[in-house]
Amino acid sequence: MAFALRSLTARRYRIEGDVPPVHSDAFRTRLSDRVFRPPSEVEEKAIGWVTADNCLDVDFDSAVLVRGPCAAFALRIDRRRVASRIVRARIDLEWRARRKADRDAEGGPPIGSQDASRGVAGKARGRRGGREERAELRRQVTEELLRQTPPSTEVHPVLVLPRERTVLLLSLSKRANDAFRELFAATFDVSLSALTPYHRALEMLEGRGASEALADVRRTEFARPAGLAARRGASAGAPPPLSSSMGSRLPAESESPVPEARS
Amino acid sequence: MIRPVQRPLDERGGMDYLGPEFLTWLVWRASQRPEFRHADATPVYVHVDDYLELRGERGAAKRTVLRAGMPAASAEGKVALRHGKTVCSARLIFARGEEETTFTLRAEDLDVSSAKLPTPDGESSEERLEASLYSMRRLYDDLDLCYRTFLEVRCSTGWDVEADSVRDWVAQASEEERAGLAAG
Repeated sequence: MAFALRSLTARRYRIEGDVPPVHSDAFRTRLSDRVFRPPSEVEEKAIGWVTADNCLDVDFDSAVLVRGPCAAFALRIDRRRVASRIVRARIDLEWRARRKADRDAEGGPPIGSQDASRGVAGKARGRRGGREERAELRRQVTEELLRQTPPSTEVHPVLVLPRERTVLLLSLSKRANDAFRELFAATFDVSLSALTPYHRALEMLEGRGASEALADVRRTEFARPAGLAARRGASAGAPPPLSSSMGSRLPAESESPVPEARS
Repeated sequence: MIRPVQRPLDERGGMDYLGPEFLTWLVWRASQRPEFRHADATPVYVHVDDYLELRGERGAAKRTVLRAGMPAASAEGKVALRHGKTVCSARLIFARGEEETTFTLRAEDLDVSSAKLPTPDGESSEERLEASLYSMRRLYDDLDLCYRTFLEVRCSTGWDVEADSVRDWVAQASEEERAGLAAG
């Protein structure tokens, strides 16, 4: 299952700082220090690097890292999630069972009678450790459910382009990108800047004093004001305003949150 | 514990409109002068493929999505632009010699998605992967070329004239509208 690039969906980052050369042992060592380790039975999340070829392979010493113009590896995130509704339901059942056991031990009135409910409520209120006991019960139930829940796995390839000092995460998921930035920064002691239009503009205009060049930039309206559009449009062959003839032929412009679609 | 934020709070620098303006300009430019040239004179041709998404200033509440056909030449696309919307996402084709790359560009963060890279040559899977990675790098080079060309005019005194040309194009009847008017 060798890594292949059939389709590309990616976010690009600038590496701010020095990453060891991708051919070097130092690069491999940094990755090896943060390899993926499966979450323990009671951990909700685990995150780390795996090879680009196989998400179960974390042996960066022998892995082929450099591919063409870049180094390729992958980010693996395993998550276990227990539904909070199930946790609450299990706690409730467990809590009832404990209270019943307490009553039975003390020989109290049967469940359902008024005395019984008064007795339980009174006891619960009077119980000094009630809140702590419930918190402990929640922890136990959550751990037990986590043990029974297999983790879900996400794998996102990462491409480091040393010549451009950029790194690409092949995912646009916000959660994956946040996790990636944090782990990459911790692995290589660098920071990553998303190459947004603004950031790219700062870089490209550096020779012209980027901040000054961008200082006067204001939003541009590409639509002409209605009256002017009608006057100029008459000479440019534009259709008359929507309210006249075009309104009957074209679909009305969406003013509602429902997106228009044309197929 | 609240950890300090390492990165700037707004990575778009308060200029959320810059990406959509670029993509709107690129759609216009593709319809007028689709050729861009690298410093080594390599030409790149830009075309709009079959997907265009336009948004109003306040985001998704006013959205026009055009799929299939030639959305850049459609009446709906022009009408949306005349209502002040800008292109926030488009499926583009970058042609460089024999090589064509189709991809969707999301304007706000310049994210590339669903890029169909040229079919790679090579005997082994390793060679094909390397060829794909080089194609990917060329895609970003071409995208940077377009964005640089936009910035050069955007941050110059020539922008008013350029923006006016875009406005003229927006105001002009689209091919669909012209066909409809002629038939009517």
